[in-house]
Amino acid sequence: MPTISVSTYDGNERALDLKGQLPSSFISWDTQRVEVWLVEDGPDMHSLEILYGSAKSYALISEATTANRTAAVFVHGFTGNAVSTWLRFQTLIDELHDQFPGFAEWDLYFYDYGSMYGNIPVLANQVVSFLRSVYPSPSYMHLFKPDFISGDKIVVRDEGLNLPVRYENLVLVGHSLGGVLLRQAILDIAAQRGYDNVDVFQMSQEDRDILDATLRLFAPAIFGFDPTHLIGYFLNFACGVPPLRLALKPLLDSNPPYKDLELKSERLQDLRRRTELLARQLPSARALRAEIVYGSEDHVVHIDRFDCDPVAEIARDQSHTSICKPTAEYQAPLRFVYGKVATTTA
Amino acid sequence: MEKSRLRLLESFERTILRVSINEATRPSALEMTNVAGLYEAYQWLGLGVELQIYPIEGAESVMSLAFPKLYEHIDSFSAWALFPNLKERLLAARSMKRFFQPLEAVDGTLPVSSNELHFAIMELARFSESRPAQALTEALLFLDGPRWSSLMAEPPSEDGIMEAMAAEYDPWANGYRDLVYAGWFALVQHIEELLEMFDPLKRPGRVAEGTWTTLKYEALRIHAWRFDLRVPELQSRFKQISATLGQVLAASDPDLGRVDPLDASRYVPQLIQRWITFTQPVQATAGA
Repeated sequence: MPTISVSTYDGNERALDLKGQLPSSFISWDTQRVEVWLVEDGPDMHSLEILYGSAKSYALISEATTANRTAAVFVHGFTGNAVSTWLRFQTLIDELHDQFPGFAEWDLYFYDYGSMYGNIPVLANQVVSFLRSVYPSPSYMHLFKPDFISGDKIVVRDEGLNLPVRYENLVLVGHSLGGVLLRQAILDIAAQRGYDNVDVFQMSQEDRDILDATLRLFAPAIFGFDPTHLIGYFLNFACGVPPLRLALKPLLDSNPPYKDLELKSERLQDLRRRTELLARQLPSARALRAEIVYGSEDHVVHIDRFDCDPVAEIARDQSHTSICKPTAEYQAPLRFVYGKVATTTA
Repeated sequence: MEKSRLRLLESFERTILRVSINEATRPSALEMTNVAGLYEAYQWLGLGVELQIYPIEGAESVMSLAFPKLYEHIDSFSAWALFPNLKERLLAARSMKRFFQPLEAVDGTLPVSSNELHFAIMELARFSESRPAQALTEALLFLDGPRWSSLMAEPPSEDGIMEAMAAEYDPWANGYRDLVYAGWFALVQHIEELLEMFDPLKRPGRVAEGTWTTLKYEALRIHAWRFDLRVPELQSRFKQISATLGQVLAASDPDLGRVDPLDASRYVPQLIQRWITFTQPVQATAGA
């Protein structure tokens, strides 16, 4: 097998041993020389933008010029953050462009909050404000207000931000506690005038648009999770550290209480009751019905769904923490988030 | 393209450098490691410049803000033995009024997957500005014998450890011991993330092998001094903290049958061995 010369994206040439894996696509081919366009070596199709007023949130804004854009809002869970919870999501959307071309038209907002303090109503209220600033029309002033301490010299925000005037789709993605916050936020929008006075025609069009969002949850803690005690926190922590999880597996398996932490939490029971009630009253409000995926090795949250939700998926060999972290080999989180919205917009 | 570089720099400045400046300029019992965090932020920024994901001129502007605090401690910083070349570099930068060396062949084009490298640096640098991690560093490296004995004389409080993980925790008001034990979680998680991140089989497809190797070696050089488990005294202290934490966990819930989960799983010695094996090739270059 001859060694061939490859022209890479950056204009350099390098030898390629054909015994190795060929790139996924190429432009022309002959027996002596192959001109290859390394799609996987292409540039990022999203630019990183810092969001203001919400801790360490950021967005990956599409560089696409198409009108049909999707906004996705990611909300991490307890002790997580907007970077590590979604590790490699941020870059695989571009790296795996061949498999997920629709992501090129998505703007991804990674929302950050202090999960170690605050409580569900307060945190959910902040999520509501954030959602309203993103969708359906992204608010430049609320999201991208300049705040660079170096002063005018390197402020670059007044031009060139490729935001759409209006998004066509909204996908809400939550992990663990983030799933609870998103469900509470949806309730707060849907029942803003009270649970006995739900009328979509009294809502603003913008709020009605949010209620039409697609809700996709990774291992949501909607049936309970209360790691406020050290041992609960430790077991949660251990589940996120694969070698420690393996070492402690017998302990985890023999302690069902930790699978059902705070199973009878009044707040979570209310969340379920109210969501199911509103799902009956507002059958067209898609955001009240969540698509859910749990890992088969999840020892942190109770695995179940609300009556209004479709049956939850189970991802084999994934833990509470790994469930939402895609890799080049484990692409299920990307497929889950991508869903049908992307295939219709691609 | 230059605009994109500036936005990545802005992200670094806001989430890493600004936090480091705030930590270094607030009065705290952890002053040593607070300042070390600022030095490290400077080096992370330099690494980003070296990898061409942050623009050098913008980085110079950002660093000029940290300049006064950086030199305030330059003569009293006790960890210089760990950063011999860094001190010379900083002193040279002060006289030249330039923090970073001009790069060759910068053509204004962002390297492919600059986002990938940026997020990797953010993850690596996040550990340095974690307050529990700073407290653990202080305890492992800088406490003298009597103060270490005093720290270990009493077990931590369960609730205190949980509170110490919250961002608003004040070591002045709430005590130092619980913060150190909270740092155990930060350290273990970070070591596991490093082992995972630099697993040769898991290199991101779009990042060149040489670039990834540079990132690994520089990352270890910049901040692995905080948890160099090859150092016998540091390793011994880490084991003592782990053992105490295991006992607290065992005592915290009768449902677990009072089993020390760390001792029973032998996780800690295995972690130490894995980490030492991982860092072995870097031993000769660390601290360069």
